[in-house]
Amino acid sequence: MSGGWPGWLAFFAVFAVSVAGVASGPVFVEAVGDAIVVDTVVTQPPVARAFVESFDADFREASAAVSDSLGDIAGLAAGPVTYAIGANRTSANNGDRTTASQVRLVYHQGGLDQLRPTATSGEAGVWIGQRLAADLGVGVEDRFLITDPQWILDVPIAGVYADLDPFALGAFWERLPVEVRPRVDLLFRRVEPELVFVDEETFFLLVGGLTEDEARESSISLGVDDFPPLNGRAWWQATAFGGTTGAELLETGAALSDLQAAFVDPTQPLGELMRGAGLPRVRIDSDLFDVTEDVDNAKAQIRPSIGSVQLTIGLLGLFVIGLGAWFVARRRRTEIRMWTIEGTPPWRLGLQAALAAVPAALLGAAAGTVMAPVLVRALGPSPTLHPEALSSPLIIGVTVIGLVVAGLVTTLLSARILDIERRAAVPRWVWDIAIYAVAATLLAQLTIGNPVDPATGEVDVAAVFFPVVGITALVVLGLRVVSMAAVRWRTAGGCLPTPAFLAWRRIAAALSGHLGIVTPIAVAIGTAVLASSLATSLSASLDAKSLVQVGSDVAVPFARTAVTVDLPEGYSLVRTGTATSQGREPVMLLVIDPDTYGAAVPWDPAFGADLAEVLELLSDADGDRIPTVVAGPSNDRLPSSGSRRTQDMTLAYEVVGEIEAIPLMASRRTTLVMRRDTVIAWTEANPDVSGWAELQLEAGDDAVEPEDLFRALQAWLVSTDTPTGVADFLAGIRQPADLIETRSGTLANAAFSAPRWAFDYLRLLALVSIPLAIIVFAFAVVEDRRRMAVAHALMRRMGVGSRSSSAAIGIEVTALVAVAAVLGMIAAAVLSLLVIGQFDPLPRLLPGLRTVIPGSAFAVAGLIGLLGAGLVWWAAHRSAARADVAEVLRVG
Amino acid sequence: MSVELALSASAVIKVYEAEKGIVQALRGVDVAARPGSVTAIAGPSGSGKSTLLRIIAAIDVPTAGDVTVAGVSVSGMSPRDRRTLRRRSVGYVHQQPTDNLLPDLTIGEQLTLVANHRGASPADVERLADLLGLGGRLSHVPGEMSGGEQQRAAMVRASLGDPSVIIADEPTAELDSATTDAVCELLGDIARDRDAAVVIATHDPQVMQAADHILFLRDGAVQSETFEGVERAVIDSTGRIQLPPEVLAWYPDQRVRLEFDPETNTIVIKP
Repeated sequence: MSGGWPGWLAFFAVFAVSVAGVASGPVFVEAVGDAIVVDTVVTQPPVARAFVESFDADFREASAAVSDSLGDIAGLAAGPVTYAIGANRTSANNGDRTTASQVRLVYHQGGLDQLRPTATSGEAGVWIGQRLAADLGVGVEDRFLITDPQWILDVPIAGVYADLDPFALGAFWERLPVEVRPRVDLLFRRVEPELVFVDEETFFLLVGGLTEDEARESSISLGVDDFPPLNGRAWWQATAFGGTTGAELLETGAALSDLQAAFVDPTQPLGELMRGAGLPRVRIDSDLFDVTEDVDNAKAQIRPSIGSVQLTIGLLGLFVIGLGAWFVARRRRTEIRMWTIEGTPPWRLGLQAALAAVPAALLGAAAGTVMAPVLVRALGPSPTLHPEALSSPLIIGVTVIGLVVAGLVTTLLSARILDIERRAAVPRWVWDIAIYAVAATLLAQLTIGNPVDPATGEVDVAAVFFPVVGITALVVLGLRVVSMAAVRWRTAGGCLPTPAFLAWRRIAAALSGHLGIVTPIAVAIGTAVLASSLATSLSASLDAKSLVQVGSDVAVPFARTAVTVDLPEGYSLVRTGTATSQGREPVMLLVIDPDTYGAAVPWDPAFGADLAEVLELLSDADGDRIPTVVAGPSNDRLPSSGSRRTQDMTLAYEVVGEIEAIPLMASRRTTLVMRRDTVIAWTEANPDVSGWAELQLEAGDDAVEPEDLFRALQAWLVSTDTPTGVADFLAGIRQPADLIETRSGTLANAAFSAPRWAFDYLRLLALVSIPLAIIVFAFAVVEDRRRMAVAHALMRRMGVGSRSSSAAIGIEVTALVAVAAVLGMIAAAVLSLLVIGQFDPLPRLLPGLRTVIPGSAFAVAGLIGLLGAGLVWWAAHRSAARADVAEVLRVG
Repeated sequence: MSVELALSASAVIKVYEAEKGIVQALRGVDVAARPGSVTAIAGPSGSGKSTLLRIIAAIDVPTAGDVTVAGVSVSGMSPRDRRTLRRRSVGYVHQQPTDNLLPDLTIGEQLTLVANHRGASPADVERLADLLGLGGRLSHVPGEMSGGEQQRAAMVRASLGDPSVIIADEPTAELDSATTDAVCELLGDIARDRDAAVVIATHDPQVMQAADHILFLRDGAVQSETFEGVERAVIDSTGRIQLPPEVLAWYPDQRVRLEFDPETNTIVIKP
């Protein structure tokens, strides 16, 4: 039992789409994991580092084993080895002069090649920095003593190197453990220990790791006879290859865990070797471990949301399968009736229908299985495919349930086909009210509760079902209204040309009679548009929120000492601080530089106004008060004018406008936005009020710099440049780049990424709805082709010309599909405006969610409507043209 | 001597609930059909012909009354048992040829399919097909055959498995006069050959002429019965009698006096 090739094709397609939709869930979750790992690799290649805090004198063999073990792990490239001793309470002297500096003796593989020598003896020995050399008054070929309460080393100086700049270490030194690289404190002052570099032979000589013969033959003399063995620390570094997939990196992480276990397990050869070399506690530290944890957390966080969408797609697919089975069974009702009269039980007819659908279902499921990873690649956060994540039980389950639904629908229709008792059917309005009630309940649940859990980003099942149910309710309501109007106005087409008149009369009748065709099309199109709208709005909202949180694409706290530097294009300084007023809540003060702000901060319409407009408002100073725009929660109103005090200044403000949010503002805190130039101008004009006089007094003979006005505020460098570009700029002006924050990094944070990914997956609902709509069209073609052919034949028999009759059918079909498409799109637009605000995944961050209805979704929906209308018309026209009029009329 | 009936229905009442209220489709109908006989059920549209046919075909159940098909009482039977009864004892022919045959299978294929379903042998298929003049058409699909041929094929299908009752719902409505004659003759042949009771709902005088027994239904009740060429009014099991409309018109106030003459066993109706 089948519906001919269109039915077969439709079944194939609906099974393919359903299986692809449901099966893509686990693949999507894996892709999320992959994206987290790959993002981490791109921003900072993960480093694996084995280390020990002590070692015996002779640990050379064990060291090589550690290094080799790391290098043997797939995906890791063994990196430099670093050994260090000293630096606890060491000091250095040249016999005459002593420095209390802590000194650390460091061997770093390849390190000597990276130093810039200022003087060298060409002999073996140690390398000291310029500053230490100056402090001690020593140079090459001198000897100096490193003293410790436990030991003294007397070593020759082989070279003096240019001190490493802690602000511009370069990639080679930045990878070193923090203990063996120059550092600065929070005030950007350089801190100890001074690094004294040695070659490997000297290091092992110092720690007593050389054999007696080797020590004797060593090219350097220690200058002490009874040299004690020294302990220290060692690091073996390995770096993950760039471009490795996330899954492989996770495998690398797992291999590192295994290696860690092997190092400390005395029953394994590696563990025995480590223990023998005094390295019983080799530990491995790696970013990969954190990445693994991040991946697990993110996966756990998005899995429920993905599951909700999967469930919705599955139910939609099953609905369309059921609809298809109903269409096919209706088409075959004569056959079903015949067999039922023959005594065939309904379940057997259902079984036959299910079995007939098996080939289409299996092929569809196979196609869906292939499509699932491709869909994820198109929609997901990572281009890496994870076919291994496909779940066979899930795929088989969807296919079997789909077949069961097809069989059940046929069984039910068969069971009722001989039911001549025209029992009072449940009135239509009861079904309508049931749909409205379910939609209203879901709406209430969304309005009262949280469709998106702000803590976890998890999307509520009600939120995922609402697009489908809400659209259905609105579409049914719309259709009732339209069909009532059509029936009321059915006699109004008398003056129309024949094709239009015929079409109009048929539409008026068909709108109420063909709800079974019009409703699914409208619901499918509406769901696609709404889901697309939700996903687009959320994506745009998260972008805007991340901008507010970070300040721009890149932001970094800027030292007060650097605020006078010239900034290149795309960079700006923004100052933030707290402004208080007695008896009132503190507010945030945010001062922007109008000359550079626009190029350095991407402005989002969600902030509530155009940037040029804001800058214009802020420039409108009357001299008495500083024009101020208020950003923040609208329920936290400020007086329209007043004064606020920062640490040094009192500023009189006047509110000239309001916006919802601005980059760098604190979360949900009222923020006063001012222009830098108007603040300066106002303080100079109002020295008594602003504290300008105090600043002048403080400055004495020196001129007061305008920047002094803002010294109580934190300066932020914001930029649209790349993070690397900003880091280079900071290095150029000798500022640390450690605290750089990026918008991409923030968006990759689980708080942002989980809802973003979950709603990216919601796009799948939209994508799935589109083919489902086309499939519903296909069923409509199967169902309606005969009716159209009969209509065509009847019109011909009535004397209507072929062209007119064809045009009438075309107009009718197009109008029906257009009504469906328009109703679906209107319902989607109404619901978007009504509920989208409830879907804010991060309501604590401004700006709130703003509805973005993507024009492309409407265009695609319109195109589907047009294609569908064309398809139905073509099929009907073709059937009509091929049909023998007499035959059609006789049997129709 | 009592003759075992293939079909009997006694005081059958059928009431159902429609959108516009309660409809009394049958108001106490009695029917009986012997094996090998052809019974025509005639009457205007809405008289209850199709409802009666569906009840005696065990497709539907009566609201009240008793129906026995092939010696088995249908009243109170479960749907499953009715399905079994239909499969074993009832053949059904629809009005439209397209409702009787599967369009995608050849006549031979679908007759074989039904024969398997009803436990008939392939030889039966061939014999019946030959009997009804379809021997050379078994390899054709219905679309390649005329309406008359399709109906004949439907009759072969309905006759397979030796059902006790063959029911045909206006089987000649779509056919011309000559074909109708042929079909009527075939129905009689089938009844005699298969020893089955053939029950036909019809408007067609040709069909009625060919029947052994004609029941005229009006407003859900049997108005008259014609047996062996003699038409008689029917007093139903509750004692009611239906007058033909033209007779009813003689009594505009529908009030009459009945006088019984015991000498001639005659009832006289007087205004």
